[in-house]
Amino acid sequence: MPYNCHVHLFSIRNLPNAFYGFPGFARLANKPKLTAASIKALERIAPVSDNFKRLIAFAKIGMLQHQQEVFEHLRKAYEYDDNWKFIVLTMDMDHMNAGKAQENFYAQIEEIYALKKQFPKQIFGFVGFDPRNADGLHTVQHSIERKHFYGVKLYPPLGFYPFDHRMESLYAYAQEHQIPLMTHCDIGGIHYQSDEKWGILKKKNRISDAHRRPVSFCGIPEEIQQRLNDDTDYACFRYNFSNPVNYEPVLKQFPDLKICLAHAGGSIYMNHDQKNIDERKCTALGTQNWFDRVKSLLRYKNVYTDVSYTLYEHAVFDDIAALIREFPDKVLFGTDFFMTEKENPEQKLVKDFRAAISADQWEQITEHNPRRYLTSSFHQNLP
Amino acid sequence: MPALLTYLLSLAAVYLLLSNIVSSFLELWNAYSGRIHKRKIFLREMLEKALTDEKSNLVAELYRHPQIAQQLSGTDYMPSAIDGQNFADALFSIIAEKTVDVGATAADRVSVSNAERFVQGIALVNSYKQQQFLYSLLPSGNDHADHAEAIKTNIVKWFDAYMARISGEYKRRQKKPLFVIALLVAMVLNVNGLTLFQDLWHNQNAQKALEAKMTMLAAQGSMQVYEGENPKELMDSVTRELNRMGLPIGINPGVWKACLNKKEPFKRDAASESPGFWGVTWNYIRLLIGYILAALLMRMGAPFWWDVINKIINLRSVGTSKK
Repeated sequence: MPYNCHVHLFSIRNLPNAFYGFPGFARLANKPKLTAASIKALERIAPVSDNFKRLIAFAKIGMLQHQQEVFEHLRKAYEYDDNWKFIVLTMDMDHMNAGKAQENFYAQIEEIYALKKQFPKQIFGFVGFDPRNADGLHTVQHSIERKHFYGVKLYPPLGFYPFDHRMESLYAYAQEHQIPLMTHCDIGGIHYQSDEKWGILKKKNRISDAHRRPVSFCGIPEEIQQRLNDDTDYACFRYNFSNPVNYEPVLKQFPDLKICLAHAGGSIYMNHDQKNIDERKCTALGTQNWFDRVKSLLRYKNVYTDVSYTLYEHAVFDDIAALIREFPDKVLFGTDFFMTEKENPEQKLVKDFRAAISADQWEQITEHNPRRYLTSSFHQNLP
Repeated sequence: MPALLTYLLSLAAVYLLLSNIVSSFLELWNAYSGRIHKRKIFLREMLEKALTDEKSNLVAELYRHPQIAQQLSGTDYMPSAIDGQNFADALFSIIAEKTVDVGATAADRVSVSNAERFVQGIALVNSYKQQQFLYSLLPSGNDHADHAEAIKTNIVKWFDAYMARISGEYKRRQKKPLFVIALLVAMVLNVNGLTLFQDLWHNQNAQKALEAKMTMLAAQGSMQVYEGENPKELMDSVTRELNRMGLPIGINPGVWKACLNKKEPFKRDAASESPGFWGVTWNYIRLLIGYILAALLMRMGAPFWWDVINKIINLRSVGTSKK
């Protein structure tokens, strides 16, 4: 009974209006015929490049209207094998300063709950948490205690720090009940928007005071404090949210917190190939290897990491295999569906990676570790 | 007095017939200009106004519900209209389903009555505001166990009343295109609001014929004069009928040319053959005013004129019975 511990099912209706900095993005959701026709037209010219082909495949899923449809794509990728179980990560994108989504965060949760009723043994929902949502903790408690959600998804790049003072009550609740948290630890992904329209196209973006001077419940790592003062370029500044060093003070205060630092810091730091980082000239990224940082945090009893998104790069398979050897109980298997569709199809990711590690390692990261990770005081027996 | 009523009735009848043409062209315009899509978005926005807030999104759940989703075709994700009963069935089912836990069996579902599940489900809606709204739909009395149908009836009542309210808002948004289409119809069919008053006043036959037709339609209770025809056919039928009655309505480019020669009301220089620059200008302005007046009256819409006709018929029948 293998687990894929990192999948997303959100549809275009769940994305805020200025997603990726382009105002009106979410309005595309109301033009399904136009988007379908555009994708069809692009598909005709897609074969010119493999990358373009993959991008179209990604857009095809990303433009779907309902999470149920995205889930159908996922099931198809696994040839409708009902043995596979999926940790489905919802995200609260209502506070990323990108406007309203066609269907807000609560609609996203309700849809996953409805899917859970339909696929009780396959779907393991994680409810998104954002400290700027005043109702966030209540939503987490309600979803976990009454709606069969299994854990909490954190996505700091949406504009909050893991040491934010409003996170403390969540950590206390999660630690008390051993509820698993999943957090984003990679420089990629989506980020909070600046206050400017078309912000993504501008080099300098306004960094808000709240981001420059956060209030922490456990202290701010010295290195991050320095960067909060020094970084003036939004393109670099935004990486401060997802830096794994932020979890050090948190884990000092909550040493039993069950948390997975997803993406293992990012494949960009594996294989010691930091060429791309140097090109960006971001001091926030170049000085320390996030992969090593994640490894150093695995010394805490309940800290996990997953290999999601990294799997499209065959060059890092050796690093991942070494990571599993070094921390056999701490690594989870995940793909980051459907984000990875722009790199490789899901089937290929799983197949290639499966071939790259031993059967024991595979069983460890797809079955034993996920079961331990998912077990909490609310969910002792997994379906 | 009856003569005046007959005249007013026939005038309203002409505008009812013409409003029907305008409405059918508006439908055509809506279909080809993406306005039907805008209507879908408008419907969703209005429902969200009532049923969605920052803490819940019942509309998203409603639109995914089979009662509504099954009525959509292909790539369509939003209906342009929802039947009240379908809405009630879907909303009832969504709220009642909130009490059903993951892995519940059919036996679990029938162990509690539907109405009771609905009442319990309200407490599971995330938003207090929405909870209050849903509680307000419950029939009076404490025992709701056997009142599933009564609850659904209340939902239908609320939905129909809400739709009636928002249709007013939708009509307001439609006024601009409606006026443009009405003006075009007036210009193409040469419906001059100023001269039509006169023409009809002097045409007793047309008044009588229209009075008879409207009395018959009122007795049938239907304002649909010509059913199942496309706008072009409808336009032809109406103009043919009005022409037969001797009313000068129909395509006639000659009226524009006539403005160049018509001397009234600038008759002072009787010897001159031409009405002069100001005379021609005035003729065109008058023609345009006539068209605008006709367009404004056609824009009132067929339901308005049908209402006027019924009121006149009622008024007349009251007068007759008193006699």
